Amino acid sequence: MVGAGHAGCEAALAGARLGLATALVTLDRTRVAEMSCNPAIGGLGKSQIVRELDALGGEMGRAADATAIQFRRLNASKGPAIRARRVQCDQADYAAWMRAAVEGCPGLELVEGHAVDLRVGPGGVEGVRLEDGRELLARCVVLTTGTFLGGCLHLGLECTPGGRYGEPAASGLTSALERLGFATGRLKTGTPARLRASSVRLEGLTPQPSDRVVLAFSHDHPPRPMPPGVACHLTRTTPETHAIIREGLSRSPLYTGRIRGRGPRYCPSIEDKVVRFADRDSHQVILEPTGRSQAVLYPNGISTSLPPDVQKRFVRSIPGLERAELIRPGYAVEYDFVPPTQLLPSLEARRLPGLFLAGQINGTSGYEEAAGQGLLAGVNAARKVRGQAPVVLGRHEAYLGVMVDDLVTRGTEEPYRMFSSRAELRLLLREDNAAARLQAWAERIGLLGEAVRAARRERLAQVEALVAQLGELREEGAPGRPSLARVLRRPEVRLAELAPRLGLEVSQDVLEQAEVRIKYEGYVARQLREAEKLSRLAGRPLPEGLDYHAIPGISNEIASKLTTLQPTSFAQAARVDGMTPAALMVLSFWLDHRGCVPRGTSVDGGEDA
Amino acid sequence: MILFEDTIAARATPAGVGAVAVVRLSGPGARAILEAAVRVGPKKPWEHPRRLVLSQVLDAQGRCLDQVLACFLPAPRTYTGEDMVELQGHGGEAAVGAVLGRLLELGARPALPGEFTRRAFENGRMSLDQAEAVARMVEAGSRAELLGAGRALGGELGKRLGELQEALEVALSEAEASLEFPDEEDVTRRVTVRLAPCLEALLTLDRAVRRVGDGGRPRVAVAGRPNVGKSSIINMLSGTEAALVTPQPGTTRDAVPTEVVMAGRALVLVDTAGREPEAGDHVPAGIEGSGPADEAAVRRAREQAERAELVLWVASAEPASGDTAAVRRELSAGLAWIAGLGRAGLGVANKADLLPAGIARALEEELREAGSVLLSARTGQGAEGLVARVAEELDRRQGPADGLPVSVRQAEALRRIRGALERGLENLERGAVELLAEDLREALAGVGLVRGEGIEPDSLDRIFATFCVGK
Ligand SMILES: Cc1cc2nc3c(=O)[nH]c(=O)nc-3n(C[C@H](O)[C@H](O)[C@H](O)COP(=O)(O)OP(=O)(O)OC[C@H]3O[C@@H](n4cnc5c(N)ncnc54)[C@H](O)[C@@H]3O)c2cc1C
Ligand SMILES: Nc1nc2c(ncn2[C@@H]2O[C@H](COP(=O)(O)OP(=O)(O)O)[C@@H](O)[C@H]2O)c(=O)[nH]1
Ligand SMILES: [Mg+2]
Repeated sequence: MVGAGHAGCEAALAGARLGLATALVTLDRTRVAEMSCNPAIGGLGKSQIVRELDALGGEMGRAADATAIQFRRLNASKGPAIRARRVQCDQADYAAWMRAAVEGCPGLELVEGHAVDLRVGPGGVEGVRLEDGRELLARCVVLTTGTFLGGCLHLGLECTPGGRYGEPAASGLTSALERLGFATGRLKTGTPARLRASSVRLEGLTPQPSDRVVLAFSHDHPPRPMPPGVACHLTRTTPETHAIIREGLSRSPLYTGRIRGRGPRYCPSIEDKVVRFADRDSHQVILEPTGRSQAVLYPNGISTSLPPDVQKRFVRSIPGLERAELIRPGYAVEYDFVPPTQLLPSLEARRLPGLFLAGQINGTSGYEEAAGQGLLAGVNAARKVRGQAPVVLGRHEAYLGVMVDDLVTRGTEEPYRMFSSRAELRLLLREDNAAARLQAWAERIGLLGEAVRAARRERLAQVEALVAQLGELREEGAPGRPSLARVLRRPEVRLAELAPRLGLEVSQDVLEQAEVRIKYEGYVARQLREAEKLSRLAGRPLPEGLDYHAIPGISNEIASKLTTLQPTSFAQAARVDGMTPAALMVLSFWLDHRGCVPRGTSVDGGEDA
Repeated sequence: MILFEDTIAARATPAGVGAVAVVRLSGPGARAILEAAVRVGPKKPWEHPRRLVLSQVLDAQGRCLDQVLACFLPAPRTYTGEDMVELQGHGGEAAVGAVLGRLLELGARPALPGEFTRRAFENGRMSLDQAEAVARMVEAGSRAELLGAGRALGGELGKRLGELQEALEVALSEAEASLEFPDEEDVTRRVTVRLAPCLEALLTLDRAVRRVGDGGRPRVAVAGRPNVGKSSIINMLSGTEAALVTPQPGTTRDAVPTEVVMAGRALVLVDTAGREPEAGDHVPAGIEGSGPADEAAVRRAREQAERAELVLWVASAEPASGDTAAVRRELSAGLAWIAGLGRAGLGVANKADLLPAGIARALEEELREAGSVLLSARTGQGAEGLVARVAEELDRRQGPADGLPVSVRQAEALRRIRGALERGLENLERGAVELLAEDLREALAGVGLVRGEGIEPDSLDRIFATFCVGK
């Protein structure tokens, strides 16, 4: 495994825990699982990923639970499918926790070094070469290099090589990959300045306190009270801020064309916001503590790559930040990525057996996205060594499945972040039922210990029993009344209120799962039918090496995409950008009939298919 | 590699004697067949694509079958997207038949109905709604329908669908924004999910379309006891625009469908008589189960009624001379039978000429209230009233005659959109925005079904274009 970021740590832990001799090579062993941006984990779509990770035996959920300092449940008042956990962690605690997990993991060796090349043999990858000349031989290699490959930090018009503030860039691997025929590209992302908390005046700003009860990410941790004390604070930019930013644009790497890599639209820099939404004279800024000691504040909302002097001036035009000291300035980082359409759904490279890629190198952004891919790549590398079939999660099973499928079939043009609307079965892919959804996979993968598995099985059984019970029970025992399940389907009825009256004694978590399941039953049933169609269609394989240009009725544009992507199944082809049902019909028709339509016979039979 | 390996041939102009008859070929073998079929001068049609070139179609023995203008149209810029050939001959059944026969001998196969259009669709030359509009155009039996089909082909249906799609996508992106970015003030301050524009667009679309049955034209069945004048009514109606009537051989001996154009729509009138009336015919007491002799007739009448868009129940007005209520009773009994079959009915009292003028007026008044009409097939009195009522009923069930024609499949999709929006309204009211989003997706899928293509709304794109979100 190359790179001890969020992807690399999950990959290495998975590989070692599955019993394989695993080495995790990283540039600096004191900077394991560093949170490059703000130390928040979760959010809509992302929290589901962390729950899924935990369901499969990943580490991120436990680490976040152990180091959380602030917690909020998003969309708490909206429907359960779109509720999400979000925690602020202590940045140093989180990294330390993860490092301890890695260093304490039997069979896992943390190696400090700079990987610069791959060793390749006739059967595929054979290991990595380090800059100092060492060679690590391996049956499988997982690259999780984050923002470090060809990394370049932009600070105003100055551009210095680097993977992250204060850390060197990594070189060599990009050209090694290109030599092997991989296409590579550039992306960018940015982060705001960090502020010394003692220089910030919080009085008068609106506090945003933590929820009082923390819902754990890990399925094995019960909810617990959050000790008070850590709060975020809201402030906002002023017309003056915007004026300073506009003045500074002539020294912006973004607006002078120095940054060519595409940045994420969901993380616009403040200069982007000011330019693109010129009609707004103010934007919200959230001051988030990055640790228990609350010595450093992360000003969420003002990510920037303007020169330090401009940054300092505009920051100080924001109420509360009049005398703010910048511990370090914001910056943008531009880095190499490997367009993920070159991967199989197992995250193994199509053109180089044994090489797996995960995390930011695949064009994603975010700790959770990286960790999720890391786990899958680690598991699949281990399975490959063992000669087992790879784990490929379906889009109807997990956000992880949605993400990997999006990446390998569609690729991405901007840093890919999970959004709940990317999942067509959002109502099913919830936080509450992650363990239930992935139980079968978890058993098959085998990362969880027997005790944990037994406890989880027991809770799932309780949910089943409760759902069944609610289908039988009637209010006040009156036989003519509708079942409680039916009553519960009414939106205003909450199980938490019914449960005590009925003397039901189950944990909050079990109660919630049962309730949500019943409430969504109708919609989910319909969506499941759709999912079934999807998986039935998915069953139809596509032959390898098809030249789609030779198929009439498929536009050149789609044919080019299909020919490069070489989808392995119909379902994959169906999700290629621009693919239409009509083109699919033509494709299926063509596959049915190519070369075997006798002259003069009617071909209409196939058209109805 | 090509999608269709065989080459199809058919006459493109209607049968009958006309000035010119066009025979078309489409498929990969079109050019080869043309080369084999004709004798040409120095100018060869396949060397001058898209030009009319005088040629002679020869039989296997080299004898001239017809002198034609041949035109070779190379793929892909043709109607079907394949190589095509058009031969304009001199009409005449014998000549056209011989030319077509020769093309088949040379390896073409007779085209199935609508197959040219289907190939156009499958070769990506037209969208499904356009392809269906072409089919409707071919089927159109009246000017108004032709206009509607023409508008659909010109993309008006697509435009209306586009408006609906836009409204749905805006609503979806609003719903999604409020779910995905609950913390963003730009969203919480500005988003109010609005369904009104969606409903409006759907209503506009609903009003603009005409639902056509699978068989193309709506069937209007004429039912009633023997001798009430059903056949006479059909004759009268078909006589009104006789020029446009084409008799069509019936599948059963006794239910002869007649194509007519009434109030701007082409429709098929179906006589449900079990048998032709005979002198001294005995009138059954009730329509159902009135005796073994009538059972078969009744069964057939029911079958016809079940396939019809509208069923006229005809009664004789004659008993009104004694008691107008008797006529009304007879009509309502018949209409109840029709309603029992799940069809729409319209009551018709015939033979008004046999009533004294005063009673006729009173009866007409009473019937109008019930939506029924008084008529005399013999004198033609009341015919316009009947035509107007039939048009009104069909309008209500199908949409206006010059509406944009939509198939059963498309109408079903429109129903699906409506259902989804109704659920969406409820969910919005309850604040279940995540469910509303599902409803909007379902409605968008419906729009895709009408159009015959998948719609994948990119709500994220819209969100990022509209809202300032992100840390
Ligand atoms: C400036 C900045 C801003 C960001 N902003 C956001 C944001 O706004 N929103 C968001 O969601 N995410 C943001 N992120 C991204 C987030 O930090 C990453 O998505 C996440 O950390 C990626 O995890 P990873 O495991 O793929 O890589 P990283 O966490 O980057 O870890 C890569 C690791 O690999 C090591 N490494 C790299 N190359 C080599 C090599 N050749 N040999 C040995 N070791 C190597 C590095 O030392 C590092 O430890 C930002 C990151 C940066 C740097
Ligand atoms: N006086 C009168 N006789 C009619 C009228 N319509 C039909 N008839 C006569 O009624 C008889 C039965 O008509 P027909 O159309 O065959 O009835 P069907 O059995 O319902 O089809 C024929 O003798 C017609 O001439 C009408 O409007 N007025
Ligand atoms: Mg008759």
